[in-house]
Amino acid sequence: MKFEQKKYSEAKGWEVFSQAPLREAPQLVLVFGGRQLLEEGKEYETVVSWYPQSHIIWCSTAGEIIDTQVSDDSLVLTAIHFEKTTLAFTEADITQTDQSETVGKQLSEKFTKEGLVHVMVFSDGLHVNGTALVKGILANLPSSISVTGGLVGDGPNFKKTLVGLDKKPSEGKVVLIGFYGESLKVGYGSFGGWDPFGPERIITKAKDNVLYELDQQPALALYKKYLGEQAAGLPSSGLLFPLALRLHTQRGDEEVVRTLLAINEEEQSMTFAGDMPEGTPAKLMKANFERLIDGAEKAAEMSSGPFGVANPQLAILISCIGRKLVLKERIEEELEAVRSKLGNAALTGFYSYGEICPTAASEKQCQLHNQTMTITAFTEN
Amino acid sequence: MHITLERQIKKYFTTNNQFPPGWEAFIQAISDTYTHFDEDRKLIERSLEVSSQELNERYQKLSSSLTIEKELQEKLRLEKESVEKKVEQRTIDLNKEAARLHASLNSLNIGLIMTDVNFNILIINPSAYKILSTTENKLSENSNISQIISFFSGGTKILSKIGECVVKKTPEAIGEFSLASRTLYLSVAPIITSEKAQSGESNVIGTVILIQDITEKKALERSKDEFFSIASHELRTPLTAIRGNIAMIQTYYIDKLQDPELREMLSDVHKSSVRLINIVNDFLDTSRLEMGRMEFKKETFDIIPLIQEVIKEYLTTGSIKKLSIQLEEPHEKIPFVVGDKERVKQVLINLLGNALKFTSVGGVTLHVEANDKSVVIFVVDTGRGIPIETQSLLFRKFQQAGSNLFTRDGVQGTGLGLYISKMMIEGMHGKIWLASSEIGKGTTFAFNLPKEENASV
Repeated sequence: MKFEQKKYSEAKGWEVFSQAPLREAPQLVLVFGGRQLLEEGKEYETVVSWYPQSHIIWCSTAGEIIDTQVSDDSLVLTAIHFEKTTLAFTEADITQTDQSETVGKQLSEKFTKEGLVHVMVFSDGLHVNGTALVKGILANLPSSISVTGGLVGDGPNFKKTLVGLDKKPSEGKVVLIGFYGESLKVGYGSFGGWDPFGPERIITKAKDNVLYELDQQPALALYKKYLGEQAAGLPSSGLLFPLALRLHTQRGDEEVVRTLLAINEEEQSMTFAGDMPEGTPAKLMKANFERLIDGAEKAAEMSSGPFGVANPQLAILISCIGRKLVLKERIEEELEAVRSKLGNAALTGFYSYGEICPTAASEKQCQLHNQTMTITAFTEN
Repeated sequence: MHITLERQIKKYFTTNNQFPPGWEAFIQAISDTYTHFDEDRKLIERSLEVSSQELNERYQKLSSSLTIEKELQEKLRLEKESVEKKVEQRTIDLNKEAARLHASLNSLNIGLIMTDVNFNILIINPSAYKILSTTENKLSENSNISQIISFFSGGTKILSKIGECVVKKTPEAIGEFSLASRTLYLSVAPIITSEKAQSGESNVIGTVILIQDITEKKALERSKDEFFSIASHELRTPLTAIRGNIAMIQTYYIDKLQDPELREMLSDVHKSSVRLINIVNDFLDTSRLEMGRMEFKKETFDIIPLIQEVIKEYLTTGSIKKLSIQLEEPHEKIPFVVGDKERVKQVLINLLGNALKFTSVGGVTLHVEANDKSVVIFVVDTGRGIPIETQSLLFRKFQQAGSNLFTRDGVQGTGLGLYISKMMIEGMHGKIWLASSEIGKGTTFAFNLPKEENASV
C-alpha cells in the first residue's frame, strides 16, 4: 500500500504531507473538506486532473484531520494505491430519514460477496437515521464482514452535509467502498470517554430518532435548563450533553451514546443521530477532558492491538464533532494520543455527525456510535 | 481580551498592551483559551448544580413516597391483623357449628343424605350408611345420588321427585321402597339459601334426602293387626255359644224361670253377648279391611228393596224410641247399582243405626238419587247434629263425634262403624261423606255406588 497526502487551505494553498510523491496511480482518493469549499467546487478540477484514473470520494466535515492536525475550511487529501487489494463502490441517494434501512439494504446488496473483507460507509449526516442505515447494510452482508465509517458533517452548523463519488459532492448521498483480497488486514476501534451523570431518565415519547419526552417532560426544555446561556447555541451546544442509552438487546443491556443533530422548537423535539426507543433508560453525559483523550488512545490501541492490525500503514480517523466542541484548542491532543499508539501510519479523517464501527475489536457486527473516536486501520501484506 | 490574561500581561510585561510584532495572534489564541476554559467551567458548574437539584427533588419525592408506603404498610398490617382475628374467630364459630351439626346428624336414627344442586353427595350420616349399605352396595361421600338410586327398583320415581322438589322448592314425600328385605320411606327437602339469587339462577343450593327404615314399624303394625284378627276370632266362638244358649233358654225354658229378676238378668246377659259379638265383628271387619283381606262381590242389584229391608229391621227399634223411619219415594226410576249387596246392607245398617242412635225426636228419612255415573243414598236424621270441630274426624278409626271410645254419652258403639263403612264403600269404588250437619237440627250422611253400566236414568 502506497499513498500521498496533501492539504489545501486558502491561506497556504496546497501543502504536501507525504515524504515522497506517489508514482503509481491510486485506486482511491479520499478528500475531506469544509462544506463551503466543497460546495463551491474549490480545487475540484485540480484534484480530478491529478488523479484521472482514480475513484475520488468527497466528504464535507466538521473538521478535517491530517496527521495530528485539525483544521476547518480546508481540504485534506489522501491518495491510496493498493498493491493487491481491489475495490468496489456503490452509491445511493436518500431524501427521507425513514428510507435509511432500505437504502442501506440496496447498497450492500450490490456488492459481490466473494473475497469481500471490509466495507466503509460515508453517509450524509443529516437525512439519515444511522441506526437504520447500519441495520440495512448489515442485512445483506455475511456476518464475517466488518463495517466501519461515519456520517459526514457540516462544521457546527448542522445545515447541509455533502458526499460525492467521482462527482461533485451533493446532499443526500451514501457511498460504500468494498475492500477485496486476502492481503488487506483491517483493524478498528471505537471509544468515547464521556461520563454519565445525574439521574437516570426514561424515554417516554419518541419516534425513530426523534425524541420528544424524557420522564414525561419535554426533552428540549431539559437541555435548555442544563445549557443555560449556551442554549442559544443549540443544536451544536447540545453536543456537550450527549445521551447514554441503556438498550435492551438479545445480548443483554448495551450502552450506546446518542448525539444531537437538530432541534424543532415548534414540536419541542430533538433529532438524534440514531434510534431513541421508547422505554429505554437514558442518562445525560458530560465531558471529562482526560477521559476523552484517553478514549482516543484506547480506540487506537483497539485498532492496532491483538484483534486489530499491528503496525498499520494507514488509519482513517472518524471522530465526533461533540469531542471537538468540547476539547476546542486542545482537540489535537486526541490525535497525538492516537499517533502515540499507531507508529508511522498515515493519519487522515474528519470530525463527524456519527461513527460506525463494531463495539469491540473482536466483533464484526457494527453499530452506530456517537461522541467516539473511531479508527479504521489498514495494512497490506 | 480575557480579563485575567489582560491583568497578567499588565503585571508582567507592559503597561500599555504593546506587544512585539506578530504576537497579537498568539495572545488572542491564549485569550480564547482562557475564555473557553471559563465557559467550560461555568457549564460544568451549572450542570452539576442542575443535576444535584434534580437528584434532590427525586430524593424528596422518594422519601415522601417511602413515608407514605410505610404508613400504608402499617395500615395494611393492622387491617390484616384484624381480618386474621376475625377469620380466626369465625373459624372457631364455624368449627363449633360444624361439630354441633355433625353431632346432630350422627345421632339421628333417620338416614340423611345432603347433596349439592347437581346431586353430588356432600354428607351421608351414619344412619344412612347403615340403612343403605348392603354387601353389594358400597357408598362413599364422593358419589352421586344416581348411585344410591340404582340400589332401588323404581329409582326413576325417586329422581323425578327430587327434581320436582328442586323446581317447586318444597319438601316432597317420595314414598316407600324395599331394599333387600327392608322397607324404607324416603322424603326430600330443598336447601334454600337466604342469599339473593342472581337472575336466572335458583337459590336452591342442594337437597336433603331423608331415609327412614320402617321395616320394624311395618312388622309391628302387621302383627298387631294379626293379633286383633286372631283374638277377635277366638272371642267370637265362645260368645256365639253364650248368645245361642241364652236364646235357647229364653225360647224353650222360659216357663222354668219364674223369678222376674232372673229373667231380667238373663236378658241383660243376652244383650251384652249380642253387643260383644257386634264389637268383635267390627274388629274383625276392620282388621280384614285394613289387611286387604276382605273381598267384594260385584253384583248388580236394585238398591230400593235393600233399603226397605233394612228399614224393616229397624222398625221395632224406631217404634220403641217413637221415631219414624221412612224411604222417600224416588222421583224417577233408580238404576241398578254395582257392588257387594251384603256389604252395602252393612253400611246401610250402620248409617241408619247411627242415625237412630243419635236422634231422640223426629225420625230418619232415606232418599235415593241417580246422576251420570252413580246412585247416591242419603240418610237424613233430625238428631242432635255433629259439632263442626269434630266433623273432619268422623271417618277415622275409633272416632265418635263429641266423645271418645270410653265415655259413650250413654250411646253404645265401638267407634269403628263409619271407619268400616268408608273402607267398604271405597272397596266398592264408591264414596261416603257427611253431606250436612247442624247442631240441634240433624245430620245427613250420603254415599254413592257406581250404577250399572249402560243403564239409562
